[in-house]
Amino acid sequence: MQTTTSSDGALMVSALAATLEKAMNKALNYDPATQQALARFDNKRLAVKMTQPTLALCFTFTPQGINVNAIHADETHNPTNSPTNSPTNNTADYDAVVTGSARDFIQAANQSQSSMADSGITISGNVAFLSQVQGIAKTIDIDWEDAITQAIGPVAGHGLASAISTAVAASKRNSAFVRNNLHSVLRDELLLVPAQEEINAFCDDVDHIKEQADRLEAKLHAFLHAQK
Amino acid sequence: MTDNNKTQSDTTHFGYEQVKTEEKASRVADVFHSVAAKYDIMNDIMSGGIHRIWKRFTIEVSGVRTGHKVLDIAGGTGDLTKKFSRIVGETGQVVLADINASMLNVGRDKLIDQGVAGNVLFTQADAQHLPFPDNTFDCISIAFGLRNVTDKDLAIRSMLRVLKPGGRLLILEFTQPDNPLVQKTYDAYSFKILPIMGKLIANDAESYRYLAESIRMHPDKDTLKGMLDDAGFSLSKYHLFTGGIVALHTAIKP
Repeated sequence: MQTTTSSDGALMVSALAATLEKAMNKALNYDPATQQALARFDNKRLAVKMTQPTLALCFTFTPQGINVNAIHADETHNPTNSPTNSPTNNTADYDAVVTGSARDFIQAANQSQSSMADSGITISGNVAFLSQVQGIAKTIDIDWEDAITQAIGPVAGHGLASAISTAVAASKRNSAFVRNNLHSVLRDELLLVPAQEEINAFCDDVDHIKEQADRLEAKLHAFLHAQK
Repeated sequence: MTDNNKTQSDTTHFGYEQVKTEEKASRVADVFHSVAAKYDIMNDIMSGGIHRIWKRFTIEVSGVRTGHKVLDIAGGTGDLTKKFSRIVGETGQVVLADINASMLNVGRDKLIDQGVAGNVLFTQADAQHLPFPDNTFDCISIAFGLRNVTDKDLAIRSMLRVLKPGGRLLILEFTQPDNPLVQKTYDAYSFKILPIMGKLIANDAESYRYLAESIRMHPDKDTLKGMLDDAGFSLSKYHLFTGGIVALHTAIKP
């Protein structure tokens, strides 16, 4: 049996978990509605196991906030074999387990729909719990103005928050505009890509030429056959 | 196994100094009375804050759950107790034990100020003679405390007694790095920089010189693992952190 491990790599994951925990709880302080919704989960545990790179974290939702802990691969002993609050490797110890590669998680995060079908992510355990967490995550509304105001004072804070809010709204508006109008600008204004109708007409012309060529070939065959 | 920190039956080490066995506890107590007020800030500065991550890892492998009873020996200013308290919840209990009244007072005040109360008890107790019934705790932790205990074998046996069967012991402690380069750097830091920092921040160079010396006199990681096995623990193993200057020993009571 292995009795010793150099755990500096695992320590990095613990540090990441600590940072995540601190950041999430700090952000939730500015969104009491989400905080209350998560507190209702009453110590439910969600394990997120990432492959490529390997990273496993356990999120426990408590009335005091979210606990984020690293799941360490070589600590599998669970004395009484029942659900624990400290992370273990046993899937049964969690209310839900989400497994996938980093790429899968990034793709799923960017998807607009709730379903994780065809995302490459595997889900086990209480799917309803996971769906509730997902729903809450989508409605997070952090009061950034409050956070900024506390850091730099009410006057400057309000001004900065308003400027950021305006910039974010403009950025969203612009990106939606670009997304909706990019195609027509490329087609109608810059004439860089053909319209669908032009492509269809071109394809019809090609088909027509092909049919005429086939007909000519058949006539040639018939003529040569008659000469013999 | 006989505790290797005893050179003769009536003397033991206090850092590099040989003192009478019965004197060690009071000498160690003097050190911690002296540093108690600045203990947390010194820990942060000395370790660059990494001690928090060592402790977090310890919690993560503890296996502690809601409703458990946890004993945090030499709990000092309550870093582990705070986290354990959150995990065990209202139905569990954490006992913060420390032989030193000053450290216990600092820890108690700090935890109460942070709203950690209700499931935490504070007890002034000697790790060698734990004042609890047999098979009481699901988990026992001792972070950076074992090297200050006079008779470590006695303390380990005492911990084994009060742990429930299947319960886990966690010993987080400084150790000697194997890498000669790390060892040399670590020695220079411990004996030259640490006492100066102790003088500047806690106005106490001697206590931090003792800290460095006591780490060198503490049993090495394999010896400590052997002591756990000899005491009757099973599945003992250790994790090494930060170039091998800190070890977390874990063991299960059969």
